[in-house]
Amino acid sequence: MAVAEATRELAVPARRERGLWADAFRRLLRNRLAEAAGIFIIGLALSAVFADVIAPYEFGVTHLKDNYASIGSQYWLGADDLGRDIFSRVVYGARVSVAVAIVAATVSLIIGITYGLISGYLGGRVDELMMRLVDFIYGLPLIIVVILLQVYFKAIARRGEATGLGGAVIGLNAAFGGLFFVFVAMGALNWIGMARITRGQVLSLKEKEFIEAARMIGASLPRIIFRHLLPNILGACIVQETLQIPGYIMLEAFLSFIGLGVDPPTPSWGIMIQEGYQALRSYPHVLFPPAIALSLTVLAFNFLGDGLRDAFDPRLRGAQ
Amino acid sequence: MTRYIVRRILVSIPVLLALTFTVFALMRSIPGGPFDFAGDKSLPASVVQNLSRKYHLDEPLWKQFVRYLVGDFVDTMDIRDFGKGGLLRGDLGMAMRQRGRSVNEIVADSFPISAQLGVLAVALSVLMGIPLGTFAALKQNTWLDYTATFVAVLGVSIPALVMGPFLQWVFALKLEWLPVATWGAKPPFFLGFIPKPSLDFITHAILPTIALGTVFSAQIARLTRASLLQVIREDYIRTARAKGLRERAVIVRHALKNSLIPVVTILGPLFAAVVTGTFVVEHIFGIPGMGKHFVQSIGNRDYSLIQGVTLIYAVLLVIMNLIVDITYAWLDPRISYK
Repeated sequence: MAVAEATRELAVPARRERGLWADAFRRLLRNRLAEAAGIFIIGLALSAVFADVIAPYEFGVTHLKDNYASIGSQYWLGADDLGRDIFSRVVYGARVSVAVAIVAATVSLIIGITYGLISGYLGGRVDELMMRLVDFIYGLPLIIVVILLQVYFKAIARRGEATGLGGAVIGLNAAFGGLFFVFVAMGALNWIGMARITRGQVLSLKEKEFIEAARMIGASLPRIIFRHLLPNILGACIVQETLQIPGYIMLEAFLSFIGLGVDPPTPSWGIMIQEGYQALRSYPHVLFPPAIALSLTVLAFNFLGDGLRDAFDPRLRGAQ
Repeated sequence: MTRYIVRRILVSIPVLLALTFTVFALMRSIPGGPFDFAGDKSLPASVVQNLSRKYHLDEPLWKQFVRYLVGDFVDTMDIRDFGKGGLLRGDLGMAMRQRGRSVNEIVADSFPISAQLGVLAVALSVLMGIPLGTFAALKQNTWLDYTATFVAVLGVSIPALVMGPFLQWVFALKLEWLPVATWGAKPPFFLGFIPKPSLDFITHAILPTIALGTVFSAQIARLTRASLLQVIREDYIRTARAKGLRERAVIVRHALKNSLIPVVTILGPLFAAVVTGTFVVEHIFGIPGMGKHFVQSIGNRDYSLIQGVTLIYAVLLVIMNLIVDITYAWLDPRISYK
């Protein structure tokens, strides 16, 4: 009896910190949401890859007689000003958003981790110099630089005189709807946070015993970096990068919205929002599908990022 | 403190110069020039040549840049002309695509309107975000917290280019409560940017302020919550409780004040960016602010206009970051500057 009471006394305060319902609610909102977000993103990626199969129409096909057709069996989500099927364009538009997420995130990860590793591991004057450069780039108005670069790339691509390797790159750019360069540029300008995190991690790890031990037994510098340091910091870096992806997707939508994004008729949600916004008064159904798709995708990446961060470091729950 | 501020201002001058030069060089490396087109038609070569000469675009790049900084001193090399024109005197030059208008005039017209919208949006995000975040942190792990956190994630996920048209559709077109677009305040403004608080101004400002402020409110709420949760576990909070302070005083005077440091850190750059105009919201709501110049002048190759607006943004950014650092010392007594 006394034992049972004692256990209850021990057990109850531990449980009460977070009530049963709160706990369930927490699990539902945290893990389930992150899980749902993950499934949504996988579905999104699949529909981007298999857009040709899923979409009932080609994204550029116009049916001028059916302009602004409303929702129905012929056009599931209606048609836009040129009679193009909105559902098909939303599905194809996922390609651009998924592409920017992958390309910009990869570029940012690679540059940021490399930079942070070198800066943190070498330390001293090199580190100081490299961090000064980071501070300078941090001060640049990034959106203006991205707009400048995109105008530059567009002007170069319009000339279209490059052959050989240059031609291949321009071809690759066209395959991304004229956005490949700017995706790379977005990644290449957003590695600052990544470099800082990597550097911080390296600074604290490089004094640890296991690195010391590796150095003692004569492991080479690349081996220390790739076998010992990198695996330990990659988790934190991937979490951080996932949290940056919504920013890339919104920046692409912004560029397309202001007319500096994909080349028409390639659909992007940003350009579709721009078109829908112009017809808002009479045909609101044109605006909502791309707007909802964009918001849901950003929401999913936010939940996934939050969930990943909690999973990697529960102490940071809810931290920025 | 004064010495610290003076030193910070001096250090920022080369940074601003480097930034101006970067924009200067990047703009001129883009193919095409400001006089390639007039409307849809291209201009005859002789006209382009004359215009280029008038705006000194035929000179070597270094000379153009020095002229931008010091004006005609670059020609006369007369020390009495030094500082009579150019950036040194605050002259941002003539706009290239809006004939007869100086960049200073364009900025004077559009900046106050952007600033009005920006200040309202930042005020909204502070007034919404900090209480929401505090509330969530104090009720950590209850359903109130989860709801607030969920709303905040929802808020950061709806960009202005979705929020703006959506608000227009619901509140202006369907319910017809508020005007669809345009701005309700006209110059002259009190102190250069404060409008008369007329009903017209308020009704026109509501929707764009919400469209612009939602994401920032949500960001600030998330940041406040996370930061407050960390601060609450600090030893000095335990000390404050142990000496018998009321819970309210512990939270407001000790915890909240310290937890605002990360919030202030993002508020500085955010303020600089928002006050100088946001293209999307101004475009959607037809507000004649400065945001469009950041976008259009690049497409138009209006060299002097993009340099001017970028510089204004950068100067504001430097000032805001300085204010942020000074605020740190006030929020956290452990921080001091020498």
